[in-house]
Amino acid sequence: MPVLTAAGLRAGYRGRTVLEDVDLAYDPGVHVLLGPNGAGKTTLFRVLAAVLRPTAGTVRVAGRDPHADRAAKSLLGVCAHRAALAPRLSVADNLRFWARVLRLSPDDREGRVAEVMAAMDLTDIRDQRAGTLSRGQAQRVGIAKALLGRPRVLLLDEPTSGVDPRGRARLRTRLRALAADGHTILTSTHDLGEAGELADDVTVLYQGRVVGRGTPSQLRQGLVAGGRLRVRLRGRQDLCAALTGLGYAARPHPQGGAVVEVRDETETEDLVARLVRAGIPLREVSPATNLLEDVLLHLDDGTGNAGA
Amino acid sequence: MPDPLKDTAATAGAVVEPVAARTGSAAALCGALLWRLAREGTRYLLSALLPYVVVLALTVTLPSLLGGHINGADRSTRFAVALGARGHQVVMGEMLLLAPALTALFGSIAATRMVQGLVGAEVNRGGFEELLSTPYPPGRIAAALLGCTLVVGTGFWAAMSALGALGVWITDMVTDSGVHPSGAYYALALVLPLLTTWAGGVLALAVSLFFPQLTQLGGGVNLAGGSLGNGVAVLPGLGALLALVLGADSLGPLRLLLIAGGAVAVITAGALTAVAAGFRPETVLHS
Repeated sequence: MPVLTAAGLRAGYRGRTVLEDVDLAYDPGVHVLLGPNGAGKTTLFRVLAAVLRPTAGTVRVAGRDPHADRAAKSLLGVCAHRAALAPRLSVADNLRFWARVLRLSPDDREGRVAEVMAAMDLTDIRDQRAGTLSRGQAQRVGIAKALLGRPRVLLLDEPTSGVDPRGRARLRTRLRALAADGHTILTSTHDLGEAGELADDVTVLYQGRVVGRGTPSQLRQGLVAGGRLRVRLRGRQDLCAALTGLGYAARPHPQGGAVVEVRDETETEDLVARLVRAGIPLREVSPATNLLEDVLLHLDDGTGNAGA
Repeated sequence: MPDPLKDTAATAGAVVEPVAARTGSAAALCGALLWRLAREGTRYLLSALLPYVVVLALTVTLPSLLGGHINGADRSTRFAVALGARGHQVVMGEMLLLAPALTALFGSIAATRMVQGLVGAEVNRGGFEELLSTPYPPGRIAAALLGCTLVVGTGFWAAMSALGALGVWITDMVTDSGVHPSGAYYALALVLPLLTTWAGGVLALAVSLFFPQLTQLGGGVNLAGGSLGNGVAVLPGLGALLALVLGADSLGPLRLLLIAGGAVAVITAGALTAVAAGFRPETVLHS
């Protein structure tokens, strides 16, 4: 039975719906929620963490509803996007504060703080002020904080955002070790490459809906080999209509311009030449190499679930 | 040596300890917040008390140096005479009025700043969201914040009142003014600043929770080094200062306490009720 599930979730703020009909089920392991900014990742984390009440649907953590059964929130450990540390306190004092908030017994408190610091490789910087930590160090403190209450599920909102490659690798190792020991870890990112490094299982969230789920390789499959170009213009001319008029299958790019598929370099040269001859004011023709954009475009084709 | 990761997982992945005992009371959360404030160091507390001492000293010293024609010196002189002052009435009168008036003003400023650090900065760095993800119900989180605000506000009031009393005592010793304040004056000098400090803190908390965008760092409209929300919260302190300076002479201490203290108490009770009954996490999250 999956440890973390969501069924038919709908949620938003002040009447504005952000999530619509979201279904999820996760077993122990590292799972990644992938989506562009504004896709609803943070809102989904808030609903799963029982911080924001959904307007429809259910959340279950080990079979319990954290929205109705507040004690079930102890099964969750949450690390917000910004690690949420008091900058003037040391690493150890930040953890001691949260140990008090979680009401760990005085006998258990110091031992548990030492345990999670060791687990996240923080012992050497235990007395360093949080305000002086690097982004990667702060994220590890944030995860240590989330571990304090001995949760079964960890919700980590963009834990590698802004972290240098070495810090990311270190964090990845720690997360995999935690997953190997039975934790269910859900992290979010807007970078497919990073998602592939973190997990074997990726859920794609787009405009508040789950639009696909699979391994990173399944999501990438067939996306970049075909020669996908992004074309942008100067001015506001309807590019898709112009390209269609020239006989190309084009569709709007999520961040402006249009995407056209070409077979090879010759066809690319031919495309540019025809656009110039037609007097279309070209600004840029570039390979559409953003994997997340490609995934979203691919899923938008109607191919839907990429696997799993 | 055992692998720390294994140790962690052995406890975290296994059956979780009984959670009913860990849902958390407002008092426990309030205690944790106070513990953190204390750990954050005395520099923060000093930064609240130092301006009070400097302003009190300057306000009392300047009129005596400049002939007693500024800062409502004539009123405070009459007030001191009414209390039995014999000599150096200007300085003593200023001290008797301004010590509680500035305690009221700076107490509310200090409480407002504390709430800004407790809620505004916490919302900014995501800590408030993490607090909401713990087993504490939102009502208990609001109650804990209220408790923390009142406790720290009372601490500021006590420290400032003690410093003000010290100032009055030193002034009395230096000027040999022979003042014998009445019980009504003591009630006014102690109760009004306390109520005002609480009002400032509770108003700041209400603004932080209901209009968080006004108090977040970098947001809102700057007003005397703070945000618009802070400006609103300081108003009771400003009102108390004006009431003491302008009304103590004409109304007398007891009537002034009943009028100004009553008004501040109504503001405090209104803000308390609003926070206790109307706090919705969605408002803070949406900001």
